[in-house]
Amino acid sequence: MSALLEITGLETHFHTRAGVVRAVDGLDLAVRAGEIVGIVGESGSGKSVASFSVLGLVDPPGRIVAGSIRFRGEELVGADPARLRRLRGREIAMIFQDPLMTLTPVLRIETQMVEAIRAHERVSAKAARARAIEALARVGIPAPAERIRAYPHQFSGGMRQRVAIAIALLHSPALILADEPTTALDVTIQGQILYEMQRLVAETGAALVWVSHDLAVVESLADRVCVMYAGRIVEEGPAEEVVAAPAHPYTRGLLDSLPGGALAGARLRQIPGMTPSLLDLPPGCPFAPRCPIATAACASEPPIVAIAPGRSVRCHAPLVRQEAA
Amino acid sequence: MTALASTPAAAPFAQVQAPHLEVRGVTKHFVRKPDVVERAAIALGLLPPPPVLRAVDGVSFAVARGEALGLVGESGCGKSTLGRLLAGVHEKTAGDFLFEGMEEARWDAARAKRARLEVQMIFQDPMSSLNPRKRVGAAIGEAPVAHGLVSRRERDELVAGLMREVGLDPSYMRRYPHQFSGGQRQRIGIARALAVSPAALVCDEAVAALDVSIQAQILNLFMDLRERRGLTYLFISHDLGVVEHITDRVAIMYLGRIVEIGPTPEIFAAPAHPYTRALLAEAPRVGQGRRVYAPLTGEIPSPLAPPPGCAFHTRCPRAFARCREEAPVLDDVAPGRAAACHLDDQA
Repeated sequence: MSALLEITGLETHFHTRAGVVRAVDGLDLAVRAGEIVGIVGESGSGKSVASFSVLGLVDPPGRIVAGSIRFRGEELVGADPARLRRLRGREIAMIFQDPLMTLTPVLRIETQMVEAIRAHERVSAKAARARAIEALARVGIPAPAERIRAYPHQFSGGMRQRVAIAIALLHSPALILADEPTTALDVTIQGQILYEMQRLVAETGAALVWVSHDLAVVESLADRVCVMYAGRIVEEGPAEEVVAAPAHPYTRGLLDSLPGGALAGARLRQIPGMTPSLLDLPPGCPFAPRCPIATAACASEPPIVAIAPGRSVRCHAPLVRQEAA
Repeated sequence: MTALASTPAAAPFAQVQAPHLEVRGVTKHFVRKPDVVERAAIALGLLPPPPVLRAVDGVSFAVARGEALGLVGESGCGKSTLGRLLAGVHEKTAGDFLFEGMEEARWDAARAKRARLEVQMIFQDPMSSLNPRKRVGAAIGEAPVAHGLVSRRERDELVAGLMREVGLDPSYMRRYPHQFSGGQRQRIGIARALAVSPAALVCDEAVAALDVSIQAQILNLFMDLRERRGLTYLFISHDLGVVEHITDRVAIMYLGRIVEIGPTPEIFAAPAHPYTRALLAEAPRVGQGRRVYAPLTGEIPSPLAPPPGCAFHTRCPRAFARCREEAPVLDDVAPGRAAACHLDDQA
């Protein structure tokens, strides 16, 4: 089955005065229609830059220097900006951590939504307004016909994020990229948003890429999880399996450093050192300097090891090996 | 202290000595000051008086020396305001603050000074609490010199010791805050708080802005310091995993009030208040697998206009008539555990 989105060997680099920041450095990712994929990583792992690259939203000094991004077989790297603009918002939608990135504070929600509809479709303002109200109702905003007259600042953070989601869903996109959409929200409000996302994705059949630093949220939502470190995916597989038996030492380290649970009160296992500077990554495995089981072999490029169907790890000495058949 | 820290579940409730820090019915209201014209209009009855924000509304609890109390709740519940009241950042509107069992009104000058210095605060964003143009050594060593705890000549020695204690290389003393990473900056914030030898730390979302792997390092540092210095902690956080990990007891706040308080493991195992239950159910945890969310409906009401009766009744799945009229009081539900809910009266 062909993938809806297929990223191969993507490299997005930022050419700064201090040198080249390799934010995304050889990313391979395939997303099938209707699938929920979670991308997990810490700050600077390149997870946001990767999703920005798909939409052609990387600003200079950032640039896609290598690789390919295919959406329904169509190459997006180097595509005409006009073509990308037609895709954005219609076929591929994005939800940001801060809904105020999507909403302008000076216009009513109504104006913004009607504009978003009519940017892609020739419909009357009246029909567009009716659709906007329907979209707000769909994401669980009470009294949408009245609330649509409000300005963004008149909504709470959770409600604002719902408006951003409603706008993202206006044209029934085939692919939704969500970059930390619930990170700034309270737990009970996050629960509401996750509930709406799950329901909407199931209803519309859209594929969802959920980028987050929160492994627990990703596990609760995604079919598949990709763990990113220093610009590339180091482990990939079904969310439950990755959490239950991580194969990459970095994933293991992340899980061990989570507080709470049975070991409350005990010292947490910590990953030594810091996330590496993307300016001068060590040759070979970028995690090697912090890895407890690194050997001399790790100075060379680690291979991608398949563990099971749909499960792989980029490591010289994976913690989980392929079961002998 | 060491024994206490290594077995957090067995925190003493029936301690013989007076609690280290205690608040009784403490309240903090914020009112926007009307300008001259508005004041005149209010005096003439043309404008209603400005609304009162009840950030903290009649809260009582005690923390034993060496104990770690967690303060949990969502945005706007008053947990940060409460922490700031204890650290002396805010003045309270009403209620009593007791230091070593003594009311504020009975403090002499020495005790007042000690109460201020012994409770120090650690903030979420160390960058906004550090002067970017001041070398970190000077920032850490400023307070103890100002308070006359060490002389200017002894300062560098003290700072070097503190930096070593929090895991920083003392040779970085002459660097500026921007030359450090987020985790290192939080260590600077901790070293600065420790400089006046506090007995209690109020940590307000102290690890919330850190990546998971760095967060673990800072949490370990907090646990080490507690063991080494016998510190009392008030740990304010929205992250339930963090609170479960490092506190002995936990208080859950909703709209300015404590709705439930008790030993952390007991509350996490069997929450009594419907809000605590909802909070624990909504928070995703690693290892639970995929789930279908069934959210708590409704939004957090505005603390400017809290609903009558129980503040939670607008979202509570089990609310009944009485909840809309009468505010429940915080009552014992088990030894060392209390909750504010009318449902507990019906049993």
